[in-house]
Amino acid sequence: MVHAFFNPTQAAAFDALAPKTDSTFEIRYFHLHGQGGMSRTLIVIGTGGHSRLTNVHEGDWAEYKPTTPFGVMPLLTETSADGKTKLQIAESDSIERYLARKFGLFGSGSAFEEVLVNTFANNTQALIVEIINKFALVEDAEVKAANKRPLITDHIARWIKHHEEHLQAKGANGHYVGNKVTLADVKTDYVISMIQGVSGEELVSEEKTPAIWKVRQEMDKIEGVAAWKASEEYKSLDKENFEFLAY
Amino acid sequence: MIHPFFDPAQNTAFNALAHKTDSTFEIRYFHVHGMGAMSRTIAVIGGGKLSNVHAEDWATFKPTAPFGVMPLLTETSADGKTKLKIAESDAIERYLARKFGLFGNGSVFEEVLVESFASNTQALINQIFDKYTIIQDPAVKAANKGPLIDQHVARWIRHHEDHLQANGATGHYVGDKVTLADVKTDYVITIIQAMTGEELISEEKTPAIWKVRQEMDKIESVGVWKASEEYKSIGKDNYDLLGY
Repeated sequence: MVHAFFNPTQAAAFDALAPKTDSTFEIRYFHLHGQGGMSRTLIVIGTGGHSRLTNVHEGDWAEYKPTTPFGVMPLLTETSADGKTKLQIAESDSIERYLARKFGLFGSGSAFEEVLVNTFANNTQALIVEIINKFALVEDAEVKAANKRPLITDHIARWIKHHEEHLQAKGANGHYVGNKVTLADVKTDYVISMIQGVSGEELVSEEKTPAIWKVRQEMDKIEGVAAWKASEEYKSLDKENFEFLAY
Repeated sequence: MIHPFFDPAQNTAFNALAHKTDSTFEIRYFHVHGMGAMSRTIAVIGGGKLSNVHAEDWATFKPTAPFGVMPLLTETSADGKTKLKIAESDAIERYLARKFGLFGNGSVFEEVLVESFASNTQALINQIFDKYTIIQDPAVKAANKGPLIDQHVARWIRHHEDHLQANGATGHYVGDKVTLADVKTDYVITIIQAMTGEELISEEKTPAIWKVRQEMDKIESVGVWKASEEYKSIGKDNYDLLGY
């Protein structure tokens, strides 16, 4: 039996809902930022706030897990404004791209800008995964400490050098492409928090990396983002994320 | 100064070339499969003329690459007048897959499905690379193998065999033609078998997954590429350096 998420009978309804920006959204994930944080950010950017975002913080994952297509979260459920159509998507990368496309976060629509956004976003995602695997998820304090130096020299420092250069070359306007937010900006805003979790202000700060920092500043000017980051729910996620993932 | 790969002055030319399928392609990478293999496969599926530059002079070339990494794609228009360059394996693969129609039938629904399966498989490829393939210390490698299989490989096999069976075990994740999702599964089969032989993946044990490999090999240009001296030579170095 085809999994409900992949049933082709929904193709027409799915395609009709895909460009709509007046839907409501549910993200099912743990009560952390982790691999769900950026999907949430994309929704608050696209909907101007978090009133149409419901976060289901998975407490009974063991029961729910077998019903999911790959046994992993996050999972997105989108419901049309009239309540009649639902769609569901698995895999954080797939969810993020779907939302970014819906809300126009791939640049101006040209192939060139899409490739640029993908290039920067993927380079940043690779760093996010390295930090998660070698630092955030490592429970053994000794291993974590041993991993920190190579993580910084082999991965973080190199990312910082290239991204500060590229953002400066573009005029340090806080955007990788054009003058509006894209998926590339969302990922850099996210990884800044992770890098600072590893190294405080030693590597990334307004003084040391002004062009990278400008991406964070421009993100925080977006109304939906500011409201979301100031919310009790977000602060509660911050707290637990720091306890479990150290950023 | 803006890196040439990102210079917006090329916007119009880039967009015009993006849709063309009669270009020639150069992929600059090491003389292994590694993170360059799938870009090569997609270019070959699309019928593109592919030349592989196996970078021996990487140390001199590296500072000019936008992120100091390979693979790097250069595409030249059929009339030789326009070039474009792309960095980052994922960006290259997506660009080529889009160019050659490997995201399904053009609907958002099929695109999302292809991305979901491809992303899940790429995550496994990354895990195996990170915890096994690039590990030099044989003790660490051996210690990592068990949990890697139990926590990642076995789960991937279970879900993908299920999904492919549910889609009729046609050898395709979406519809009835090759997509990026198929390309990634064809690649990970080789990587998994290098770790576990036929213990976990084989025609008998995972027929629906195996069918993806069989359908890929039926694509004429893929058959030609895999039979070529160049591919075999890359395979030998890949086995020596990366173990698969």
